[in-house]
Amino acid sequence: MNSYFATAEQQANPCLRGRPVGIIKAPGRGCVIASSIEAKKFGVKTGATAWRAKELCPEIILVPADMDKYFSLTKKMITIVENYSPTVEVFSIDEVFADVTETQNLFSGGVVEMVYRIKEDIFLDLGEWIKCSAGVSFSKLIAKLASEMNKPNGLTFLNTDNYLQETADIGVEKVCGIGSSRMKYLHDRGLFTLGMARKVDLPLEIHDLVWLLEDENLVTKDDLFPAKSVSRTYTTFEDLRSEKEVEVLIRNLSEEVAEKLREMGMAGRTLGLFVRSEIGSKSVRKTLKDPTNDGMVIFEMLWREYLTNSLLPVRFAGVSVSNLVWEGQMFILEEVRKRNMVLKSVDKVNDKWGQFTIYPAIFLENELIRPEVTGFLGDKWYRFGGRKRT
Amino acid sequence: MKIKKTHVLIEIEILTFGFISDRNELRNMDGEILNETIGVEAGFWGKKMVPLRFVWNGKRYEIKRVTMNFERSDGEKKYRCFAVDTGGMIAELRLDKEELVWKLGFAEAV
Repeated sequence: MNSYFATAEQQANPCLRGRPVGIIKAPGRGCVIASSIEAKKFGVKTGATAWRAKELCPEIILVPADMDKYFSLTKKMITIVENYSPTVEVFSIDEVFADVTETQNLFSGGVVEMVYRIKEDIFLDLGEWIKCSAGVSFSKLIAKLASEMNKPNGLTFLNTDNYLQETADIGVEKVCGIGSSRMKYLHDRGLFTLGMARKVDLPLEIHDLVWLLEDENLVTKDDLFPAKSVSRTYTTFEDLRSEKEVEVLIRNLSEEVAEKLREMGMAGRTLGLFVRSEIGSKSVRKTLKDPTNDGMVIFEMLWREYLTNSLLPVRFAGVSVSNLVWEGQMFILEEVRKRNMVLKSVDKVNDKWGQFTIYPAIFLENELIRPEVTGFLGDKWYRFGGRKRT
Repeated sequence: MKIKKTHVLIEIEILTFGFISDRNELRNMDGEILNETIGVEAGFWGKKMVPLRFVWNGKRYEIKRVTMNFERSDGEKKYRCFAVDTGGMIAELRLDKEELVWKLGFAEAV
């Protein structure tokens, strides 16, 4: 999907169509997480501050993200693609791979007809303003690159005869797998395009990427593995200058992580905290003897460690739990069992009436940070049919 | 004695939780909270339900087009949502799928 969140808002609200739109996480939050095709023309990129976006494009309309809406559309998109192939990989909230090796034979026009039909179904079901680009090739890596070569609303075919030539002028950073450090490695050597990079000897893993040799199978829903860790990060709108504010933030993130663990029927032993501000950062890691999915336990452990050498102010915080086991594998002491009963009751109420219907009293008179769907869909194993709370 | 101690523990745990009342409410551009029950007339196009008009604050609004339909959930509540354009207003209508009650989640004058 092209400029997914922004075009979804433009689809829902016709007044936004043709106008520069930036999606922010919430009112008052400072970062653009997606921008419309019109805003991109002004140079407004993902990650730009709202202030910078306004500077680049004074007419930009900043719209708070509505992840329920986007994820609902994603599910529709997946259903459409699944109608054309049983082998589908949900790569992120707006990207899907399909292996059509066999099913293309069901269409007289082959894969071309199939792709046009998929695009038409998306047009009819998701809306006329939603744009998607398709890439067709013989490997995932090249199909993804092809899908990004003609945006918006494009369709690109790359076959074994033309893929090297057609991709020679593409920036190295466009290849999935070449992140910021590999890009810097290549740029430092004056290698900006794939064609340039192919002329020199490179470390094997980068060599394979610039020659587009990586060929992985699709990871379908059945191939997904349970999460190895659960984490939640949050960037605050302004510096948190008091320990009380930081305490509320870390407790909120701990509760959210713990709730997610319980929802997945899991618990973890290794707890992590990372806080950062302009003056520095601090990370804490603690491994418990017994796994936990209790937000209060997670918070108390991390908070105690934080206080040993606290960092103020704080602008960013992240809480993680790893070393996960299934809930059934937990050894539960009597007092922990009682606490678990309370948590299960709280979960039941929140399941029925909505998240944070009941929440720890420390959050009273503070803004609640609520769970968010991320574009990466790191919890897709759970979202698409994994084990759930019993 | 042991039972009494257990009761005290549970009581303390319950007291440390608060309640939230503004769950899943949206605000319009002026900050006004909307999640009002409204009357909606809907029709069916094949298997698809399409809202046709609604009444809000005693005024009847004809829906010119449904720009998007999607789902929201809030706990056990599942809502079928319709982003609609009345010509003078953009609104989000929500149908509670269990209770079959329509609500106006969001409205913005054009």
